[in-house]
Amino acid sequence: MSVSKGVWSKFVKRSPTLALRNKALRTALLSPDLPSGPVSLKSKASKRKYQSIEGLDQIYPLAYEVLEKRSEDIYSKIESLDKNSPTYAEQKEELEIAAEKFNPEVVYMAEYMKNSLDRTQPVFRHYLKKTWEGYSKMLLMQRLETLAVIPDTLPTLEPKVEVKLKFPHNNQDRWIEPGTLLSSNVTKMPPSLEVIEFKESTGDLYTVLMVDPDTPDLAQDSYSTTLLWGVKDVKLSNTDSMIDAKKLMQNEDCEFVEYLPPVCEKNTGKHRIAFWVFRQDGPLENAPKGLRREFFKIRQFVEDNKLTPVGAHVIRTLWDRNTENVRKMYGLPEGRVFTRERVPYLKN
Amino acid sequence: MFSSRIVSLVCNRVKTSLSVGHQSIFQVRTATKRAGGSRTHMKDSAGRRLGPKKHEGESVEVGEIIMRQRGTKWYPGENAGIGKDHTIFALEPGFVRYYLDPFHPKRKFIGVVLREGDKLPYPHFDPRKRRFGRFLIKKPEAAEAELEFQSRKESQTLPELLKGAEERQQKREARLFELKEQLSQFIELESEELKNLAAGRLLQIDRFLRGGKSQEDARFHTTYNHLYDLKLQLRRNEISQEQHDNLSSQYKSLAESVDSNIMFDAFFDLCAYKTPETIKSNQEAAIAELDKLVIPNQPRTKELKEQVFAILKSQDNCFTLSQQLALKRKYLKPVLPEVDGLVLDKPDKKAVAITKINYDTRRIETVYRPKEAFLP
Amino acid sequence: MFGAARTVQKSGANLQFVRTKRIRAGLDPVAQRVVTQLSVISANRKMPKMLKLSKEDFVKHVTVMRAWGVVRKEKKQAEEAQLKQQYESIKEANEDLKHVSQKLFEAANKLEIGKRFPLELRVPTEYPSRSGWFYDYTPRKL
Repeated sequence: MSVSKGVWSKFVKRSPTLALRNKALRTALLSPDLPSGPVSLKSKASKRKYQSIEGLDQIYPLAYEVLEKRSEDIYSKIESLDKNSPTYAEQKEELEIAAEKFNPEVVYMAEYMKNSLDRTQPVFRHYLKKTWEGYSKMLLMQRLETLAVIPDTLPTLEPKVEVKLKFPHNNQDRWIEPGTLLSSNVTKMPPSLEVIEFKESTGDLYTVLMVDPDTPDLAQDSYSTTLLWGVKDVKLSNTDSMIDAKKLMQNEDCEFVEYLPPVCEKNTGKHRIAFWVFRQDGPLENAPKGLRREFFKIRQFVEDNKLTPVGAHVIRTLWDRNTENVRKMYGLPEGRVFTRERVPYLKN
Repeated sequence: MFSSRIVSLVCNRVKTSLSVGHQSIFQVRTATKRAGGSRTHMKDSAGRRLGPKKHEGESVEVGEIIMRQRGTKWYPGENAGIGKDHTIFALEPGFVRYYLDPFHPKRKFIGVVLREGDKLPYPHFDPRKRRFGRFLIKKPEAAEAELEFQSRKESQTLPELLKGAEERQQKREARLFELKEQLSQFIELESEELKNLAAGRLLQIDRFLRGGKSQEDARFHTTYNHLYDLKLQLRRNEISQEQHDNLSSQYKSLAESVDSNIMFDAFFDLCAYKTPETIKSNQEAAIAELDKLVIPNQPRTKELKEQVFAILKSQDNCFTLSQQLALKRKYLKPVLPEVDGLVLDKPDKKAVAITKINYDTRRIETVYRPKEAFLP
Repeated sequence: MFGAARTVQKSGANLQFVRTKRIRAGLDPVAQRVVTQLSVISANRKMPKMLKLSKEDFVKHVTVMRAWGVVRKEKKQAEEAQLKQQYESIKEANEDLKHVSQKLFEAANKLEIGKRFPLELRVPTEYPSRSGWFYDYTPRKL
């Protein structure tokens, strides 16, 4: 006997991805008690031992009915919205979230199946955004600020998308936490990025810049910024959010500055390597192929191309015993060597 | 009664320890000397030489003291540090600035700027002004020596790391050799060079598969890596554009022929390539055979067990490890369910006693199972 | 259960200055063991264990809590709306009164400093009491 008698069990207007695909779990969530025991528990012993909460089977159908009724009201409100109003899409998304936010199946998926959510559904994007804001976003901002990536590269950032980064240095795939110190062996090949949008997105264009703001500038006794990698006009959507080798192989025009791994010179300290993700208004015009890497003016570039920074990532690298090999691999001359100690006085 | 006994015991113990520990309270000491006077002067100390040591605009080097103070009357600003007695000192060479920062309206700051004309505070969203402060080592011998320099930690760990790398390399080479030997069973390649290429490709795919990638992804990334290497060779001017195109098309065709002839099974051994449709139909046939072979709730023989394992591990069926496990759990249960004929009423010489908790009666029950109930 | 006391009492009634081994802070080991055992059987240990819910039941529990929150919120909103309506109508009546007669309006809104609730007034409640009036009440004799 299903507790659902209204919208939450009808999939004419709602997406079927809002329902749990596992039948046993679905029946468990749609019946007052647990007809075939606790499905989510794995071992037989714990299944046998498990006792449900007393009285839950009586109150749960009532609660479900109350919430489903409210959801029905919200859906009818969506139908009555003015479709010509400029804020229609926004209002609709907000109401769609409100209508599905408390659906037990949705809650279950948002809590326990975070990796396989259908990102075209506003409610799942809402839950994903909440989890992102709860940890990853704060962590990223903390790393960007303490490592002074802002304001050294761009003035500031208000993150709108989640950016995940990984390097294909070995046979395993692992997302890298912002601020990690990586060896030159890890960064020798171009990375893959995942850009997760929390708004509805169908084919927006994105630009990615990878810059090293810690390249020594001996003439000024200071540092300059080097552009290591530039990718433009990458089309991403809620369903397809990866910028990886596969995508770049298919659209070769995307890569306007070829990948150059960060090869630090001896005794230049830890280099911060910043990845900036921008949303584009239209196709990028002021980004010619083979743009000059050295003394790259990232602020000027962003202004010229009217880019909006929406996300960032940062890693750090250092000179190590493998750096010279990577230099050879890319046909670069041998790196310079600097004094180990910094001088305590101004040079000029 | 029981608890009163415990309490009295504790009290006794506490009393004992008190009486032993504080015998001295019974001793009395009387005053024999007059208490000190009440004069209040003679408390003055010498001046602590506080105050600014460098003034606005004066040049400083790293570590020079700018201000001595009690408490944080002044805070360290740009390029300045603070000591444990709140002494403010320079962290960079430059020129001293005394300034206020609207971010902290109640504080006064001392900072150091790198250029004489600069003002503090710097605009908040501008890039920081930083000093590199190192010299280029121009002498080749000195540069070489600096490159050779190893920190204590590095010199301790490096041999071990190199040894590990060496071992991994050896393993890889052994595997490469093995794959090259097996290769000829599945595919005919003319030259030694192509064989090496194909074996290298299989080795890469093998590594990706072990890392958890799907077969398709593993193949794609192997091709991509090889083409990327060719592109780098072109960049280094080791090959011409024409050679590059030739080599990449040659590799692509090789990859296609290797992929259409060879694949890996669940145990990362080579086997002949089968299309997904063939695999699916083979698996269905295998499951039908298993259904026929294994009769539910009947004692199993050793031969039956081996037959089932052979079907599960057969390279024709290409069951993945998780599929194999699931099927093993289904068809070769370690203990059969408690049905008639597989439970004994009384303990037997050969019977196995199994104790378990009955959660309804909250009692421990013993069930006697014959040898046939278990997997041989 | 606890075994005999291991140490012999070192000093009885005779209080002499004797050099002995320094006694460490706290109780001696036997007493400490008893205290530990007492604390084990104390009431603090009898707290019920944390509920361990399966995932489905956790989601159901969350659903119930949310539904309860929704219902309560709606009830509160309805009450507030009603109060607001009452206030509005009082205000309207007062405005009317002001137009009809300024004098009456002022009399109705006069500040009565120092005036208290009459002691004999029953405490205003939302519902009548269950038992009604207690007729047989006689004040207690002092």
